[in-house]
Amino acid sequence: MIEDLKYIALIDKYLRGTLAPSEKDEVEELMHHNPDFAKEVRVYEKIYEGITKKEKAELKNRLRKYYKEYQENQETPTSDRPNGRYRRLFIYSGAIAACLIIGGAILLFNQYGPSTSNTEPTVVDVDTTSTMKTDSIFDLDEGKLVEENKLDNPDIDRVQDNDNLVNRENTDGLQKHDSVQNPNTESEVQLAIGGYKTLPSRAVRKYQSSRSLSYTFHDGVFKLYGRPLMGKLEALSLRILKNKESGYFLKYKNDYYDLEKTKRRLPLIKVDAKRNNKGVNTLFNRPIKSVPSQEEVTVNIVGVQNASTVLSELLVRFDNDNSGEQTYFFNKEERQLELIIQADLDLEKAMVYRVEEAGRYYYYLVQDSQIYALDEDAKDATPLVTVDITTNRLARLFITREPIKTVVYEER
Amino acid sequence: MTDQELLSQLKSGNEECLGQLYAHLGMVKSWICRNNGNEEDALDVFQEAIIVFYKNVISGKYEQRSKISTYLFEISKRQWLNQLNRRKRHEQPREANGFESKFEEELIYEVTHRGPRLKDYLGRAMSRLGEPCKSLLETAIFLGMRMEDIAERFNYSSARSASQQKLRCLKKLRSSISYEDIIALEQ
Repeated sequence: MIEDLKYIALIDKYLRGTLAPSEKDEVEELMHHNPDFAKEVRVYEKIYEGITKKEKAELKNRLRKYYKEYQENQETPTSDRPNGRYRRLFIYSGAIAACLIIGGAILLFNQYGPSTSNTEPTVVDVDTTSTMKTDSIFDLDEGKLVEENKLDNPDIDRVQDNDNLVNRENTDGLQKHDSVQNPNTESEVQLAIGGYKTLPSRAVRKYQSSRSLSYTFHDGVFKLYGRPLMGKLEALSLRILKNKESGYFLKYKNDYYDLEKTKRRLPLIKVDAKRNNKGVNTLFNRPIKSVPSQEEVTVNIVGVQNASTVLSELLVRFDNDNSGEQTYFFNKEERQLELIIQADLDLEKAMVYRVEEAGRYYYYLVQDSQIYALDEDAKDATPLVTVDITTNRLARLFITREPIKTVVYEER
Repeated sequence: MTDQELLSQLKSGNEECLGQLYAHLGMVKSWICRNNGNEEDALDVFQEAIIVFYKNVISGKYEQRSKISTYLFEISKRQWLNQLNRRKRHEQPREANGFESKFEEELIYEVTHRGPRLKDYLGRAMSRLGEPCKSLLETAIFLGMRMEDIAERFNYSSARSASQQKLRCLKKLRSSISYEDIIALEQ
C-alpha cells in the first residue's frame, strides 16, 4: 500500500484526468515499473467507481422523493390558498392604484383642461357648463371602470386556481420547443419538433357539462359555476332571496337553494324540508312573497374557462408565418392527438377547447371573440370557419357574458 | 423560483431544490412519448438529466447559456436517442412494460453476481470512515466540486488545505480496504 500523499495525489489526478503533461510521464513510468503503484491505481479506480455508483443510487432515491413531494405540492391547492388571496389583494390594490391615477388625471384635466383647450380669455357661460358636462361623463366612466376591474380580476384569479396542475414553467418550456435544435438529432425528431409554436397546455382545455352546480357569494357578488351555457334570460330569472332570519337563498327554476356567504366555492344544495334549516318551512308552506331590498348584488354566470380543465391528450401547434388561407388539420398519433393550425394566432390569447356532449367530442378554437368549430376528422388542411352562434349551441359556451346587476329580494 | 435563484440555492447546498426541476418533466414526457418511449422512460431519462445538470452545476461546468428547461430537454433528448440507438443495435425486443424488463435485469444480476456489490461495499467503508471525510469525498468525487468551493463549504482556509484534507481522507479510506476484496467485486 502506498501511503505517500504525493502518490495518492497523482492517482487522484490520473483518475480525474487532470494530470499535467509532466505528471503524465511520471505516472506512465510508475505504472510500468512499479507494480505496487499499478495495484494502487486499480484499487482507487474501484473506490472512485464505487463511490460514484453509491452516490448516484442515493441521489436517485432522493430525487424520487423530491418528485413525490413536487407532485404532492401540485395536487394540494390548499397550500396555494393564501397565495391566491394575496394575489387577489395585489389585483385589488392594482385596481385601486389605477383608479387613483385616472382620478388624478381627471382632476388635472378639470383644472387645466379648459384653460389649455380654450385660448380665448373671455369664456362665455355656456362653454363652461359644457366642459362641466363632459367631466361628469368622465366620472361616470371611472365608476364603471372600477366596477369592471372588481368583477373581472377575481375571475382571472379563479382560472389560475383551477389550473393548479398546470405548471407555467412547463408551458413556457413547451413554447421553447422550436428553439431547441440539435444538429445531431435524427430526421424523425426534427419532424416531431417542427418549426411550429406550441400552444401552452393551460390554453388547451376540455369541458364536460356537469350536473353539479357550485357558487361563491361574497362582497355583493354571486357567481354560479357549472352552467356556462346558461342564457341571458335564464340568468336574469335567477333571484337571490333573503328571509326574515337573514338567511340567503337562490331561486332557480322554481327550486330554492341554500346560500351562505362564501369565498370558497361551495356546492349548491337544494333546500330540503327535512333539513329544516334557516326557517325553510316558511318557504314551503306558501310561495314566498318578496320585495326588492336595498342590497345590491351582481350575478355572474361563470364561463367555460373556469368550468374546464386542462386537456393533456391534445397538442396544439400553430404557424404564424403565413399570409394565405387560415387552415387546420388533426394528426392522430399513437398516443397523442395533434392539431396543427396555420393561422395568425396569439400565443397568449388563443384557446382550444374540447367539449364533450352525449359521448361525442366537439373541438373549438377561440381567440377573443372569434370562435371556430374544428372537425376532428379533418386530416388535410381545412379552412378555418367561424361559427354561427345562433345555430351552434355549444359555441355559445365561448361568448363572454356580462355580469348582471340586480338586488337581493327580501321576504315580506 | 427563477433559474438564477435555483442555481444559487443548489450551489449553497440546498439539494432539495432539484425537485423544482420536475416542472419541466412535461415537455420531456411528451417528446419521448412521441418518439417510441413511454412515461416510465421519460421519468428515467429526465432523472438522469437532472443528475447530469446537478453535477455540472456543482463542478462549475454548467454555463448558463440558455434556460435550465432547455438544457434539461437537450440532455434528455440526447440520452433518449442514445438509448434508442443502443436498443436498435442489440435488437432487443422491448417489453411493453418498462418495469418488467428492469426487473429481469435485476434478476439476471442477482443470478450472476452473488457477492456483495461494489457500491454496497463502499457504502460500508464510507460510513466507517465518518465525517467530515465521508461528505468531503462524496462531494469531491461524485459531484466533482472544485476545491475552492469545497474549502468554502467545509470550512477550510484554502483550496490547498481542502486538497490536502481530501488526500488524507482518501488514504484513510484506502487503509480500511483490502486489495483482494475490492478487486474481486465486479460491479
